[in-house]
Amino acid sequence: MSIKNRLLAGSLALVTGFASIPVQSLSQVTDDGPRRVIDMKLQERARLAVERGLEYLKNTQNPDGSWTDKIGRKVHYEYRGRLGKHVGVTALACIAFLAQGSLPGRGKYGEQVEKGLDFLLRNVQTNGFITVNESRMYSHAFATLFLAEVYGMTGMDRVKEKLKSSVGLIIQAQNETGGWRYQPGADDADMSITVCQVVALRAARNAGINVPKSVIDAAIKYVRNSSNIESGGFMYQHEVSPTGRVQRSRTTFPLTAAGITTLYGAGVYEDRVLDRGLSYLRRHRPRRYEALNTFDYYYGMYYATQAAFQRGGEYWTTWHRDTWRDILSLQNPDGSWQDLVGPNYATAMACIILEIPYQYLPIFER
Amino acid sequence: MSHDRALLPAVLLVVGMAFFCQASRVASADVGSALIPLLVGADGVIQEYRDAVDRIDSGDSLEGIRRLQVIHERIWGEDPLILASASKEWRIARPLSDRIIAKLRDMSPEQQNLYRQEYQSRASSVLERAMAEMDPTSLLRVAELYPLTEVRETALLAAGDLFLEQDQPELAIRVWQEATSGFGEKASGDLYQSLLLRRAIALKRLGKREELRDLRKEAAKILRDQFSEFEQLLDKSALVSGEVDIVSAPRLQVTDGAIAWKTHDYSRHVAFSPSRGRGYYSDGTGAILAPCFGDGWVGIATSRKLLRYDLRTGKLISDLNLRPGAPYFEEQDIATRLWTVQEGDFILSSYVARASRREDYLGFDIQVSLPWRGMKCWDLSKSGSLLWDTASRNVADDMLRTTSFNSAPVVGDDRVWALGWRKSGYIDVTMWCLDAKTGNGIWSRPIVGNQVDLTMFGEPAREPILGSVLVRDGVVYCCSNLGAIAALRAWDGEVLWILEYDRDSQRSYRGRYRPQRRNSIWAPNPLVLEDGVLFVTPLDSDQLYAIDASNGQVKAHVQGKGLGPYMLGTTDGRLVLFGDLLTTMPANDVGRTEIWKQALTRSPGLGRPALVSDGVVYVSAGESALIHQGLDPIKPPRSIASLAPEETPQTRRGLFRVEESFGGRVDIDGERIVITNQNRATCLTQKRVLREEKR
Repeated sequence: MSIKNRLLAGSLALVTGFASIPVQSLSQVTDDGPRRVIDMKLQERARLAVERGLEYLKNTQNPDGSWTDKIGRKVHYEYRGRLGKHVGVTALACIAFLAQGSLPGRGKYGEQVEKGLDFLLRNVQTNGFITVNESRMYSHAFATLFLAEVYGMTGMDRVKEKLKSSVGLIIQAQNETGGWRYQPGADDADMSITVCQVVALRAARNAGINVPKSVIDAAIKYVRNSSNIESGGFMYQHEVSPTGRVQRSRTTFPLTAAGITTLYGAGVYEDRVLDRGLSYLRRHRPRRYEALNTFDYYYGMYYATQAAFQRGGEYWTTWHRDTWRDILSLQNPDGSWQDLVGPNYATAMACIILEIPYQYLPIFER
Repeated sequence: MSHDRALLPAVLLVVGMAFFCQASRVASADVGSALIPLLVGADGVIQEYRDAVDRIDSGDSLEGIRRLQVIHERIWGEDPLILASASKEWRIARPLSDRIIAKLRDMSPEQQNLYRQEYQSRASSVLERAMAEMDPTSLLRVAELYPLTEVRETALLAAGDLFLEQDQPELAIRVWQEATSGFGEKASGDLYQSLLLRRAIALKRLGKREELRDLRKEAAKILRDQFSEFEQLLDKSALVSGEVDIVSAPRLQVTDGAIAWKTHDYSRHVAFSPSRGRGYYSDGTGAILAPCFGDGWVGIATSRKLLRYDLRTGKLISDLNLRPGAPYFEEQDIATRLWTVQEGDFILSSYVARASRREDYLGFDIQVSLPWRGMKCWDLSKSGSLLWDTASRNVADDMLRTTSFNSAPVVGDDRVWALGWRKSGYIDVTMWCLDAKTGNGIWSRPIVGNQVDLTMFGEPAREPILGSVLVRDGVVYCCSNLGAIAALRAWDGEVLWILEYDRDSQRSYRGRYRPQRRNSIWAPNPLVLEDGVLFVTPLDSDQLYAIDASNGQVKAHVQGKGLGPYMLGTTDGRLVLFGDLLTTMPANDVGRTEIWKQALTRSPGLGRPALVSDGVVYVSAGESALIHQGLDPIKPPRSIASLAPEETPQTRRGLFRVEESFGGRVDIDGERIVITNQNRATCLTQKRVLREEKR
């Protein structure tokens, strides 16, 4: 929608002359109603920021197509790891290029996407796991999401087989709880990784890869059960004892955002859990200055922005305005963004967030 | 002219229709006889065949034979079908060449001689050419084309041998069966006897145990006195013999023993800290080390050196370097991983090529120190020079180089069968067959991908300990200890069966992780194969499984609690288990009938006892003696040798110093008993023998 509006604004500018840009083009009224206004000036600043961010990613790509960042894990409030070629960051960077409108071998960043795709395809193990330097299911899910989007948009045969095997691994790795954990075959699960897998499976299914309905249903059940009715947030882990007692763990902003996005993705649009969750997101929105010293600011915003975009209406316009201002202000002069995982990860994530309204990727469509 | 041209198609159409109607009538009258010659397009050839047969039958033998052979040579390989008149109701089509061979064999002896005179020299020259080509298909052709000549046997034997050499044992067996068919009385003659061994070798390669057993019985009847030679040759044949890695029960030759020698204290070479224990058997300081026995020496692998001692004197013969690539790494389960295996001139052991650093958060494991173990092989005939190392940078095969080998392999006939694991999200377990001379992979086969316990950060909480490997009758059996037991063909790794079993739950239901030290019901036991039943005690299960070795079906499973941890093997048809009690049960009906349990009154020390033909031999910690306990419950246990009191080994656990009980793994090598623990090895022998040796 916003793309059309932007094009319309551009056309009008051409017709009327650059000196007389209509006022409406700077604060476009959306068709959702008169109160829901997208700030087109902000949108234009975002477009330029994305361009600089993508240029940064283009320059930091390794010759083999990968991107390097810290491969590690969250340890309490820290992020511990070591620098290495990162499957997840490579996938996210390529998704950022796709969301800009490039495809493997085509478009402004076609070459980068092609090389990134080759890197990921090379590292699909025989059992379907996409891993380098002992990366785990997070990275696998983002890589699968990228392959699914590429296959959905291009139908490349060489992607299809690898995508099928990587989707097969996700299906095989689902455990009895309906969720997933850091490693395939683990017998417990957590919300964060589960959501990544569900999004990847949904993208694969949209692209025509067979995903059993029972797998999605079990995962959705896990996500729904993770909702904490009292606070409205979604829990990191929950476990049901044989007596039926639910053991709860913490609720956080990124997990809640991820949970809502998953439910929207599964076709659940009207649910008390969603309303309470969106309310939770508004209340617990992270502060801008937290971005540099955390590892999950962009991760949370990535899902929260998708959730807000799906929700639409006033919720979205407000979210858009606040988030865009925060993220644009966090960009470094060289075009990058930064957090504890690394600049490539943060830049890719920030670009994707800013590109969500473009709806170039099927997974971001309303 | 143009008018005629216009009429021609119409005329042809009418004639064609008339012909088609006629043909349809014939076809409907007798579909079989009408269609088959048309289908194969061999009407003309069949007429020639009938003509040749008529000539032979009518007395014009030479001309008939010549014509028959011409047809045979012309059609060989094309094999047009011909109707057989076996049944009036069903028309059966057979290859014409089969009919020609059958006709030639049915001829009178005079006619057959005529055939041989006519074609013997020609057959010989064709055979010579085929031999030079070393092509089994050409040899088959010679055998088929000249079925009555002497070259047939030679060609078939050579073709079978070549098929066997080319790893096609199925074809070899089929060819050899062909060589013995159709010769009636000759079937039990020299040819048949010589083929017995060949067929046995091929069956062994194919892993067809049932057929091999039948063939052995047949050979025992036919060969009689020569049967032992047959068995020897079979054992020395292209695969490891059935004797490799069998848990046999030797006769106890020491009744009144004394210590012959003790090695020096090699504990400084064993990187082990019981206080850090996260493995299965961190308490088992007396359990340790799996030695190997060569010709007059015993080999003991530590973390840093592979030590070889003279069995007679206990003197150190050689120490081979096992320098770990990660010096900080400390073993968790030394009972399992410090093994050495010897076969012929080869001696193998594993070593830590690399290990990840241990990392924790406030005492909670983030990741444990996970070793990656390479396997080294030395050639003892060349003063112990290193032949190969799977973890060497020079190894071109990435998969092999990054595979960790931590369970003892089986070595035989220049091959090494070893179970290895590799991380790819899952712990992937793969069976490798390596060339013992070069270390190059011959084949590899994935067995299972599964997980061990994980830390709350999703990393393996301990090193996966793979199970043992057993090679018997051309089949490799292995237990992954990760939810699967498999049988593969030793020759090419074809999977015969894979059995998945229920694993112990790795976590309690409320998501709390189990204590750091995890106990297993079972010790790492070798696989036991007795009368077609495979006995397995997986580390990740509490069950003892009795599996049909031919198809992988579970015949019975028994709760192992109270039976283990040691499964020692079978003797006299009974499976022997050792733990808090000494338990035996009939090997052919495990767990159902006649379970004998005996209390162990002589306080066994930690360590694996040895099974002998009439009981078990273990170290008594309380008495510092070697005890023999018979399987017969009536006979009381008796001390067969006193072990000199050793300085009490002490280790530190936390703030406390803990006294370790005396013990060790007991192994029997002829008239010597060797007790190995993490400090030293002790050898006992009969007092009389000792006196003679000293003299």
